[in-house]
Amino acid sequence: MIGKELIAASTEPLILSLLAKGESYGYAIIQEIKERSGSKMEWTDGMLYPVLHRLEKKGLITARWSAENGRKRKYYAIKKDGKTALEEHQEHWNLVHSVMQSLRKENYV
Amino acid sequence: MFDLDSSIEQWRRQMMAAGVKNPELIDELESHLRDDVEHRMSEGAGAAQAFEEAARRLGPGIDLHREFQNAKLNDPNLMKQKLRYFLAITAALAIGVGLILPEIAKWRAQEPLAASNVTLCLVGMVIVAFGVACATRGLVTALKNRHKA
Repeated sequence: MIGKELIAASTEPLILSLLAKGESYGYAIIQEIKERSGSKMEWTDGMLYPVLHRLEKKGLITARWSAENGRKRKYYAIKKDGKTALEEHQEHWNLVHSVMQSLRKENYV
Repeated sequence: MFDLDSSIEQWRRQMMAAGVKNPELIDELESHLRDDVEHRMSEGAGAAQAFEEAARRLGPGIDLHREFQNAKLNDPNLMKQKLRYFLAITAALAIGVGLILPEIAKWRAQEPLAASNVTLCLVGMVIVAFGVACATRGLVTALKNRHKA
């Protein structure tokens, strides 16, 4: 299981990455992250919503209510600024990854 | 006999009592709760068990309320907005008082006041009144928001 700090740090980029594929809602986002990580990343369900609302306030994502079979659901979609923020996140995570990889290689030399 | 709708109604009341008072937010959390209950029932759980487990996964209202409060406090846009608001009010009060005080000093020294001096004093008073009104409005809004999740 992945540590709490790394989960918290990766929540925003993961949400943006997921919404870059297409709009989605809270429960589906949690389920997809759980499936893709092989259940190694499990978000506390209630933790997701404050992050979604914060991203919405920052203007990175947008939200709309939809009614399906008498059930209301709030769908989120990424905005242009969200895509820019996602690119920045990806650069930062790639940098961390490449530094770790280069240090790891040196250990084997 | 377990009734899902009345259990959800009771869960909503518990959320509100814990401080999550925004109805739209509770609607969104209810939608999540119902999705999770459906998913668990499709895997064979009974309605009561599915509801209890889904509500437990979502967490108690007090924790959710705290998470939203923390998200608000850490919102960089909100912090910047508050800082800009504070600086604008401080500048208004400083300019206003800066215009009024020299005229009051002249009046106390019994120096003759020209029409332009009175005008400057009035402009200063208007600016100070504007600053005080903005500060009061900001304070009232902040107090109202404390009660909303």
